[in-house]
Amino acid sequence: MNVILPLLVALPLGAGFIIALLPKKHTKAAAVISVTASIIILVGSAALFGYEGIYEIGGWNAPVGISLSIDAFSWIMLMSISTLTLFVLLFSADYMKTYTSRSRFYVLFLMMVAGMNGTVIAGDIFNRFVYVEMAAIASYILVGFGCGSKELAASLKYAVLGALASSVTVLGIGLFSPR
Amino acid sequence: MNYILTLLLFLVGVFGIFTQRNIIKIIISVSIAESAANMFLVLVGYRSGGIAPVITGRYGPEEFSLLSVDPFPQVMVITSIVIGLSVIALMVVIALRLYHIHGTYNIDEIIINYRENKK
Repeated sequence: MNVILPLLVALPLGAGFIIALLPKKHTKAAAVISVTASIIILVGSAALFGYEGIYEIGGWNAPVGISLSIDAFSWIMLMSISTLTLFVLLFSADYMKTYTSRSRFYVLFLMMVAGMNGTVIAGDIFNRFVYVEMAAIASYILVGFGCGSKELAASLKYAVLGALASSVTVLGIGLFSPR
Repeated sequence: MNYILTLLLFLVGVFGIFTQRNIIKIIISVSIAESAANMFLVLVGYRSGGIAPVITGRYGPEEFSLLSVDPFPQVMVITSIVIGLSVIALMVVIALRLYHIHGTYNIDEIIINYRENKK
């Protein structure tokens, strides 16, 4: 059952890279790939209902390797993220027609989904920080996606405040790291 | 004492973010705040006379755990430096696009331009 856990991060990342390799005009294929990936994530996270456990990637034990863990609260967050992902992808299809390079939107969106899923199921504070930053950088670019004056100014404000917040996070991790 | 100095450096960065009106200077202030946070982690992981946390077989397990430094702050610092670099590269790109649109790096002039274009 816990084999599903790393797939929740690996599947959106892999789908995002496949879409990035496609030629730019294949927006319909990009939409189909991303919707399929988000449906698989939704089904997989629904299948984890009532399951609590740890998955160690590559068989390495906890202090050395990367561990993913899930409990009831993670399951609630996972379900809300995947449901919202599917509906955002379906309902943004009409709106994104006003922009030129739509397949880049799907790449960035899938990267953000991978970061958010990883944040919820990460087993230690180091990997949680990495996943948070992954989701944050993808969302900085998504805010400024249209490359208009308004979007770029909003994206710059968001990026400055987000970078300040992430350095405060580093300070906090340093405060309670074992001595 | 060292911790207070890193806090001061962090506050210098925060002060720069909130008072500067030039986008490039704001980005430099963000970089100062990030390096203050990294320096704090380096100071937390410091141990006088410590050895590198690599098992070479020269020391036994108990002696090794007494002598070696904690690898966690070092891992955290190197990841934080890389992530900070990518965030700063992204902010520089956004600043360049804003400069191409408005012809200035000043935030006040950008806001004035934006309001006039709206009317």
